[in-house]
Amino acid sequence: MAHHHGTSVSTVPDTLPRIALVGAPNAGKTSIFNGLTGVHAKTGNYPGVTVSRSVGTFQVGQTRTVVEDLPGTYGLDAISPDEKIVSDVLGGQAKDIGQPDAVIAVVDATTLQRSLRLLAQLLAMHRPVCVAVTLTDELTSRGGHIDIDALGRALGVPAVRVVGNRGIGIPELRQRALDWRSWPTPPIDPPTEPDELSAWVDSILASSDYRPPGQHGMTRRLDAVLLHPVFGTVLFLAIMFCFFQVIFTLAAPLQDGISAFFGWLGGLVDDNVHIGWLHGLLGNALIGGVGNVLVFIPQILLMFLLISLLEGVGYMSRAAFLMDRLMARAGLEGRAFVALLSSLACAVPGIMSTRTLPSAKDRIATMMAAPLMTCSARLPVYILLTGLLIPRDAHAGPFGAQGLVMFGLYLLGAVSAMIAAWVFKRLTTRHSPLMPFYMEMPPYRIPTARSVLLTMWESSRTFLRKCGTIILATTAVLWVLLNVPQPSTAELAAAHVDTGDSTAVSAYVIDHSVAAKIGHGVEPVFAPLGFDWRVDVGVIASLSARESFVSTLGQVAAAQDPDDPSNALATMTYTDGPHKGQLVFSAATITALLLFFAYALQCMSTVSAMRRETGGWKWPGIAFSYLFVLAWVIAFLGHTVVTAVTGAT
Amino acid sequence: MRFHLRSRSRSVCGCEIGDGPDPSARTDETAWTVREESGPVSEPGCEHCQPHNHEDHEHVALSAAPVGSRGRIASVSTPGAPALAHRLHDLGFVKGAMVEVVRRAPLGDPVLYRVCHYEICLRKAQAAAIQMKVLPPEYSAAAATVAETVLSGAAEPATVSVPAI
Repeated sequence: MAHHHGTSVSTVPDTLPRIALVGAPNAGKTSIFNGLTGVHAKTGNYPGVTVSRSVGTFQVGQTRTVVEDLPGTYGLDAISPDEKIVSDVLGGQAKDIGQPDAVIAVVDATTLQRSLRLLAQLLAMHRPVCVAVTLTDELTSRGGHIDIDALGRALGVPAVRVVGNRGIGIPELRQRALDWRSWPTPPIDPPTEPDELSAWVDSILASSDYRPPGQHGMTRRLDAVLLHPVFGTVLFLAIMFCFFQVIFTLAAPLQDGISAFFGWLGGLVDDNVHIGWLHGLLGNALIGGVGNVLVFIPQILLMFLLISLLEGVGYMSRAAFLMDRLMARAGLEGRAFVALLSSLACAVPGIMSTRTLPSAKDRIATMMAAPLMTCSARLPVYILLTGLLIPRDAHAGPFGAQGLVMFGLYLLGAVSAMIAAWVFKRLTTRHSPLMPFYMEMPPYRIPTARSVLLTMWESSRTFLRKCGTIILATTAVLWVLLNVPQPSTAELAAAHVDTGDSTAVSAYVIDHSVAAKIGHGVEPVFAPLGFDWRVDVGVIASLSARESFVSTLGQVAAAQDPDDPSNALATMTYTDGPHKGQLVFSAATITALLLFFAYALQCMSTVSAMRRETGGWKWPGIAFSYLFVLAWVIAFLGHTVVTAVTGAT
Repeated sequence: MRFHLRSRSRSVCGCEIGDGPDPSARTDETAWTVREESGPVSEPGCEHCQPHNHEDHEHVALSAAPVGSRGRIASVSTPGAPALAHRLHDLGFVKGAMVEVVRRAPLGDPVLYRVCHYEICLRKAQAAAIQMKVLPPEYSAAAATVAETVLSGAAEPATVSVPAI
């Protein structure tokens, strides 16, 4: 499960040679890291800070070398605590992390004039340095030129041309890494005074026969439209609209296919498994429960595909540019928008993408807000509940009423997320100065299919893991809780239950199950929201993963078809208490449930992702608590208001 | 193709606009050379030749410079926040560097700049720390056009003709 992530970093043996990758955020560090280490990379956290750490190894002959991918930075003079980790690690001052033996400085050839300033600071640290020059292909295509060997001679250190995603230069870099002890070092330090440094940079550029790249014509022309005050905004909205259209319409046939597959699987179970309990476990719990969730895989994959595509071509930084002013209202910056957008698929990749934010305060605020974005796990719940609340053919003007409610829920999530971010930003930055904002705008690039698919896979894997572990386990546990103890025939007879009527029997079993006792136990907590004990069982199950609510409620309602419990639910009545005999799913209760799901952090994967990214239980604990309280209060308000309006409970 | 860089610190009409020898200008704007190689161009109303206070007229904060304007960075000052000045230097905003205001976000902030051959956006709060010595607009426009023509490889610098302004 998720835990293997956090622990392995520190288990790398200390005796191996260690090389650190240092470079600016867009220099291509990660693709070099992936190229060097292949699949042998582990991620974790630096001790004490919410900065993720990637460490991997590679082997040439008998020698294994450890590579550490340090966070991207434009300079070694840190302006935030998290940037400090780079200079701390390089200077050997980081807690529990030894000083690297050597440094590979990754410099982007198209921004060499800027990148050399960082390199100058690196050289002044007196560690062996090898320069990896990336994006030379783009430099050439934009009319620029560089002589890599001359650059190496001018700097006095080895220089290697690397095209990370095509593997060019990676073998040479590995060979170089072997004899880091014999890397040449520059005879004198580069200057530190800004003007002298500029002169040094210019002399290096001149010596390496450097001709800067021309403006990327395509980028200029596309930006003239895509960042235009009017067209840019319209296109941004259009792109976002298409984004959702693709996810919800294109995914539909694929989802039907998966549904059909699980239907077929369920049929197989019906035909071939005749042991009562096994049939129940396989058919209802595993295929019904987990199948319900796997149906959302096409949506998730498509969403991640689109996000990594938009990221790869460079539109995400444009979106961040366009949205920055709006995000600033919440005290965040444009890049947080990308994290919140990813959270529409699933908060887990959204939380992971907060890594691009340079400020820890922004990362925390975004993480606290991300679970409020309407993730795809809420969809099945929303679809079920709005279906109960509003008839399918109800209209409000030209729009379907169900669609409007859904839209309202998405909007509610987004607005609440912005408010939450604002509050957390205010709370965490009371005593510290505001971080400056700067964001590089890379030229539009056509990403390789491999890099897009790799990014998509990285994000999807977390979701798939969630299906295979948390949701599977919850569904199975819930099934057991709902079916024990099994009453004897005598007990059924004593309760006047017709043993031939399987629906009546299962209703009896559930009413007297362990789950029912738990549901009754927590009933006082949720009674003000109109939830009865069966809804409570669903809510408790949904704390592991929201989708579990749908499958659990199906089981609880003892509906014939656990996939569509709507009919059984619509007629469900309170079995005890002051409202006995009245409908459970009244407008007020459904509203309260919708609001509860809009706010509550019912997702163990999100909690564990937060723990991983922040390196402790403090923030996930805060997130879970504040969202639970918020969910309860707002659901209660919703219940009260709707009750007052409709005049019934 | 290589360019011969002449009289870098002189404006098109010949007046001094740079702060003396300007090392960082060496590689960045080929347009300078191109203009000069295309022969003398009459510059009606070149601002630099007018008797006025340079400090008032030419130095503007980057945050206040209009979209499309180009110039050289005159100073980066962040009182009380030396780390920010250092970071702006790291990003390429150093004295003498050519900078162009590329575009403003639809909601007014941030603004996209081109410096050191790459594009980066800053919020007003940070851009206000940078003072820029603006080049006259007609110069900038022509230079931008020529620079693009030259760099796209469409023409050799010697054959580029600059429309008389």
